Order: sequence, then structure tokens, then C-alpha cells
Amino acid sequence: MGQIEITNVDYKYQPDTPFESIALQEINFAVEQGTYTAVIGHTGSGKSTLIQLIDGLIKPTTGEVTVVDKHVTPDSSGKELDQLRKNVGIVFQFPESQLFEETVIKDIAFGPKNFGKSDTEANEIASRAMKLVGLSDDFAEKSPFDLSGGQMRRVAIAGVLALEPDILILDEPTAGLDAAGQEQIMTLFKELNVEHGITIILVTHNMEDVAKYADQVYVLNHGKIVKSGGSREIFADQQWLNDNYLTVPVTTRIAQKLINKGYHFDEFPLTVEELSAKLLPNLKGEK
Amino acid sequence: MFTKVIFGRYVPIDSIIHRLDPRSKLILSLYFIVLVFFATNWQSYAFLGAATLGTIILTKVPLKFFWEGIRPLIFIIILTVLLQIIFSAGGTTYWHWGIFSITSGGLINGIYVFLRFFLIICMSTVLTLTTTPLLIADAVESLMKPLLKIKVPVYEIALMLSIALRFIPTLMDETQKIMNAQRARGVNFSSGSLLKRVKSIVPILIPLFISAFNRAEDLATAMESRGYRGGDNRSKFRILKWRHADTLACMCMVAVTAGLFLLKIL
Repeated sequence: MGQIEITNVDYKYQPDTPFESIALQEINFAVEQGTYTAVIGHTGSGKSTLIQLIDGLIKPTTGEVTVVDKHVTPDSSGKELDQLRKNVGIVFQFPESQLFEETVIKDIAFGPKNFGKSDTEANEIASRAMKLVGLSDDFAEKSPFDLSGGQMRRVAIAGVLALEPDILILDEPTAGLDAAGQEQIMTLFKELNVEHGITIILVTHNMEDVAKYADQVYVLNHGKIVKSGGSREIFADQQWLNDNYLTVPVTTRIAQKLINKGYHFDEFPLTVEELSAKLLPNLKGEK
Repeated sequence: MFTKVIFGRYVPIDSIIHRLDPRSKLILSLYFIVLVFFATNWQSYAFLGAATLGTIILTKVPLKFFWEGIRPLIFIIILTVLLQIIFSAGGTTYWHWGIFSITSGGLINGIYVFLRFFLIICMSTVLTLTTTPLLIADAVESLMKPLLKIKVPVYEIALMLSIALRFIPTLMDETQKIMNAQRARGVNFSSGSLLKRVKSIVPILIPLFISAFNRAEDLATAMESRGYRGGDNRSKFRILKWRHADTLACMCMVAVTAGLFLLKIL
């Protein structure tokens, strides 16, 4: 039994109206505790709807969503939906648009306070979260609207981490950041995953990130899960990915070209490190 | 939550009414609203009802959309009708208690109020279902042109109107996004005391205003960099064209008016 389990879920927007549209169909999705899962698929494939289901922001039209020990079915009440949110934190796309408090520390402490923490507790959690995302104490009393885009993003992420979630959902967390900022934030998430055992679900278009960090990949297309498996498995079939309007990481593309020229890998390489580790000994041998 | 609002949404179908000039549609529907108040007897309401039904059929839009347009307003309609029935006097009295009474005059008044509401909503729904918001903005601009003579900034008003219309869906999406983000952080919009609920709006309102300011700044910069210098001496991409069909529609309306006053005299 996984930590998150979605069984036979359909989701329709505006059901029974002339504008009805089906966003998800026959979704079966399971995530084990402490794993790193990536959800990929082109724009409009239903990724964002899927993560809203996991956080109890919407109810399935049919089927059942289970997060830890809480179940949500189409008949669930609003209260039951709220229960789901206690374990899950979401970093939405461009999360800096959710900032509203006068100071950074107040904004970060906002979430824990909503979930019943006292003011002092919430402030402690908030300053810990600030450290985690690499913001020094000088920022605590600043207004979030005076910060740069990258710093605002960090405050927003700290606000989510302050909820101390068991499951962290990331919806393109690095979109619009510079290369260094992207690297830093993605490393932070991986650390949270490895060191604190937080389950991570990453929604992204960046295949390099998927190859580098994810253990498990789900591919969505037109509201259906068309493929799932380990990242090695998914990226090994380049032709299939191209047919589904997805790309592969540069590394795998190089590896594929080498294979086409007759080179043999025991295991398909995903990251630059893996590729170089496999190529170097051979090159030395041939010299 | 906002996506449920169907009232006044454009439905892209090709029909005679869809192809009409937005100016004629706007004028005629405003005119019709005034006209409805001149109907005072059964025959005239039946006649206007038939005219409305004819227009609705011409739009080729499924009747369901019109029902969706009326449904959110049904409470207001019923309330007004009930007040009208209970408080109007005249004719035979069927029942009365203190200041409340049900009389034949009140019943007839109630039914008339209902019919008026119904006809007006149907006709305005015809306008919004068959005309894109941008075209309505164009029509307003074109019809306001004479006001330039008395120094009304028509172009600026028209620009603001079309920008506002353009950003309604964007801002709704944004609101939904911010609401979701705050709900994920433990804000509960649907429970608690009134004060608590009002307070829970702050985390939506502030980000929404700030993003609107940022958006306005970006948009202004983008417009300036593309050479926008103000409304005067600009040419237009969408040019409204008055066709024979529009003249015909106006003539139909004249006929309807004539018919209505004829029925009143009879």
C-alpha cells in the first residue's frame, strides 16, 4: 500500500454543463513513501489537475484518492478534503504570487499558524524554513515585495516547507529562475527527499531534472497515463517519447547516437556523470 | 468556482444574429428593454414573447444556454414577483392579513413583472451569447463617437473597456490559482465565523492587487514600446460594417414596435 494511491479516477470540469470537459480519465497512480516521482506530459495533459486531486483542492468525479490514511471519493465532504491537505505541501507555478504579508517571516509563519501552531512555534518553524532555502536572518523583517524575483520564490517555497509536509508537490518550481537558482533549489528538494524522507512529486518540462532526480516517472497525455516506470525505462525509448511530443535529456540523446554507431552500454546512462563514468574507462582502454 | 458562470458567455455558432453588426445588436437590445415596459396587456406580452422566441430561434443557440442564463437570477425574480403579489392592491381581494393581501390586481402585476424580467434577460442573453466582448467594446466606442464633441475621452474609455474585458478571464484564473495556493497553506474559505471568513479574503486580495499592478506596468511598457501614443489618429484593425441585414433587423424592430402599439389600442 503506497503513501498516495489514486484508483480509477476520472475528473471532469464543469460536469453536466455545455462546457463540460474531461481533464483526467481512468487514472491509476501510486507513490511510495520517500520516493521521488516525476509527472511529465505536454501542456494541457492534465498534470495540474492531477496534483490538485492529491492535495484535496478538487474532488474526483469518479474513483478514489487515498493520501496516507485519508480517503476521498466523489461523495466526500469539504471537511474530508481539508484533511488531505495536512500531509501535503504544494509549490505552485510561480509561487511568489501567493505572498501577501507585511514581512517575510510573517508570510512564512502563515501556513503553520493556519494549521494550529502557536505564534512562537510558527516563528521558530519559519526561521528554520528560511535557513533551509538559504535566506539569511536579515530578510526576516523585510517586506516580501521589496525582494528580487528569485528571493521571492525562496520565501514562497519556505512558506510551503514551513507546513512540514510529508509529501511535497512541485509544479515547475524552477520556471523563470536563472541557472544557478534552478540548481540550488532542485538540490534543496533532493536533499529533503534523501535526508528527511519527504516524498516528492515533481511536475516539469525539464527532462534533465527528471533524469537527474526522479526514481519514477508518469507520462500523461490527453488526461490519461500513457506510460509509467523507472526513469531509465522511460528515457530508453526515445522514439516513443518523440511520438508523444516529449523530449529526452541531452545525455540520453548522445548515448542513443553512440548506440546507433555500435557502442554498447550495460545500463542506459541518464546523467552526465553516468555517461562520463561509462565512457571514460573505455576511452582509456583504447589508447 | 468561477468556471460555473455561464451567464453571458459567448457561444461561437454561425447564425444570422451572430453576423449582425454589434452596434445594431446593442442598440436593438437596449431599445427592446425600453419597449418591454410599454406592454400592458396579455396580447402585447404574447406578441413580444413571440418576437423574443423568434430571435432566440434565429441565433441557433441551444435553449439550454438561455435557461442557464436565467437560472442564477431566478431567486431575484421570484422574490420581486412575490413582493409584488403580496403588496399590490386593486381588483378582487382573495385573502388578506394586516398589510398583506392577495388580490387579482396583484396577481396580474406579479405575472407582468415576471414576464418583463424574463423577456429582458432573454434579449440581453441573445446579445451576450452572439457577440464577443471585444465586439461589444468596439460597438460602445463607435456609438460614443458623438460624445467626442463634448470632450469625453471616448478612445481612452474604449481602450480601458477592451483591456478590462480582455483581462477578466485572466484575473479569474489568477484568483483561482491564488485561492488554491492559500488553501494549500491551510486557509479555509468555507467555514468559520463571518469575521474569520472576511479575514481569509485578505490573503487573496493583496496578491491579486499586486499582480494587477505588475500586470498593468508590464502592459503599459509593452504598449509604449510598440508605439502607442494615445487614442487620436489611430487606424482600426476591426472595422465595423453596417450591412443590409442590420437595416433589416432595425426594420423588424420598427414592425414589432408598431405591432405592440396596435395591440395596445385594440
